[in-house]
Amino acid sequence: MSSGPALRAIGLRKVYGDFAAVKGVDLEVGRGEILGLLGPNGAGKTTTISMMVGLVPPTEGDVLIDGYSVRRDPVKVRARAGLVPDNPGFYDGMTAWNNLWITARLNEVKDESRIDEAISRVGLSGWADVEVGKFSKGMKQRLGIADALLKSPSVLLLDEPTAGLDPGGSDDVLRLVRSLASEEGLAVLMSSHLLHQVEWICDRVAVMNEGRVIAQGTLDQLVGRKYYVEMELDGDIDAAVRSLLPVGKVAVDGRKVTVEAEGDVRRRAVDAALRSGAVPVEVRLRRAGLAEVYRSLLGAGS
Amino acid sequence: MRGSVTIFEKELSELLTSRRFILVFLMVFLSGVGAVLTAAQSISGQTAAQFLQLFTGTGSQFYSYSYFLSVLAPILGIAIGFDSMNRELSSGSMVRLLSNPVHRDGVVIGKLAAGVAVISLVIGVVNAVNFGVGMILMGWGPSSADVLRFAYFTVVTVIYSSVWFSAALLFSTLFRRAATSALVSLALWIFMTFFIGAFAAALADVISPLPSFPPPTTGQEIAYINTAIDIARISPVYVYSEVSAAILSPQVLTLSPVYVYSQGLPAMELGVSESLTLALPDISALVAALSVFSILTFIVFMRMEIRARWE
Repeated sequence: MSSGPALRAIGLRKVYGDFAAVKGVDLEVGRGEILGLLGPNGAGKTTTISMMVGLVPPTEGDVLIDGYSVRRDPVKVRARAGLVPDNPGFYDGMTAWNNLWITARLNEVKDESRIDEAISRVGLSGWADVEVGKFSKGMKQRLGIADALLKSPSVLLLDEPTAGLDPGGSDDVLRLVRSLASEEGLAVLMSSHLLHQVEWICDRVAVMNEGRVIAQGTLDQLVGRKYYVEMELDGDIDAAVRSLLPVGKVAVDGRKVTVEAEGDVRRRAVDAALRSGAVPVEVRLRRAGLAEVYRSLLGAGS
Repeated sequence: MRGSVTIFEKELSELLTSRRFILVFLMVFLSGVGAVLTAAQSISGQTAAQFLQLFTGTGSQFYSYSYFLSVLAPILGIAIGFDSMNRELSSGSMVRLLSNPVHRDGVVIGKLAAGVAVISLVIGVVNAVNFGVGMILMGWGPSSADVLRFAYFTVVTVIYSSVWFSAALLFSTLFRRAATSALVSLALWIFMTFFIGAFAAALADVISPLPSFPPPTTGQEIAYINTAIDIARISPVYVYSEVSAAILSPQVLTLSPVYVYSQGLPAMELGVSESLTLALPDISALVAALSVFSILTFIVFMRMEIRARWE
């Protein structure tokens, strides 16, 4: 096992004719870390993940998993990377156990008790002998994770793992992913549209748009010290807005005034409102979230 | 090849437990038994009847056993292969397979081997049962040469059905939808079975036309027939009909336009090895077709991009 990051994408590019789907992506995921890959539809997330296990050959660049190159050693890379697509494809007429038996054989896992272990780890012990065609989407998703874990990977690649799941099912899957990273040291790359989920479980976030990573870092690094002071005012709103302008960026929605600024500016905002003659009825401080960062990176329509 | 044995086992288990397999098996089996029963009724009174006439249908008013196989063996191959690749691609199971440490060629090899194994099983069982049924119906057994000829016929039928299986596998790799690959496979089968004769004649009219006046010479007629036969030989169905005639009927002395069929001259029969030599070019053509379709499938699949999400 290499001592560097478990997963490294270096200058990854994918071109189809005149269209560049991925335009030079550099990413790293360390052991025990979860990197959230965000971006709108068509940003290149799925193509990037597909290139990481050699399903799609990169036009340029490379992916190293445990130091093995997907270009030179695709089989070794696939032995170390577990992929869970948004809709894991199982043979519906076979039982969960038999489906995983195929994966075990392909990975030369001789000890069949590991199949039972993987199934029980995702909470499907009672379903091992049931045909997968009878499974709900959430159960298939969990079985997909069991399937990926069977090979004891060092990297787990999740492509929208909670797409189409109910809130309970999503929470189960995300908790499982979190525990795999923190307790077993797996490097996890998870693509998603759902910002609150990424915010909840990811240690770092990379935002992709039009084939490029346009920002990446921890949530703190991305959000910075941006805060919102939300005030409900009585009195002359126009005068209050004029008075608040030196404090920060002001947005008005009826009697609700929001001041965006670096750091906690509650005292200055309340003082400015009082000076204008308006009375703050309610004042709230809110730290900017991933949603605000995402919108500001991708534009208002995102 | 890493992964090919597991994929072979998986395919075999899926194919043998599918309803489609049972249906096709019954169709081939019942048609075969029907053809042998009818042939037995037709030739039971003939003193000079030979055992293999049960399968060539000589003297029978009904379609022969070998004719039924020439029509149904392609259906067997197509039924096994037409959605082998695209079903896995659309369900996402191919992504799951290929995200494991397997070589892509292992997938193609595993699928090809499993398909050929299932075809061998069906053709082998159906032929063996009908051979036995023939012995019961006729009340006497085949000679050792007949057994050998029938064994060769079984092998050639497996190759012939595998040609269609490999063509269907290629179409299932080329086309995303199983319905499209099924339609293309069936269209090819219909053309090669029912229209190849008319197509060959039309093309021969262009390449080696026969003059209306003065009347064509024998040489011109032979040239015309030769051309038409050469064109018809692009059809595996035609090639298989030649091979089955050569192997099952010792009286067939040549596959050339001058089709010598000397029923009244027992001394003119060919031995097993001579019949096999006569059929060898056609057998080679079937093996070549099987190889070409398999290699094309291999090339297309190796170059295919398979995304984690198949849209």
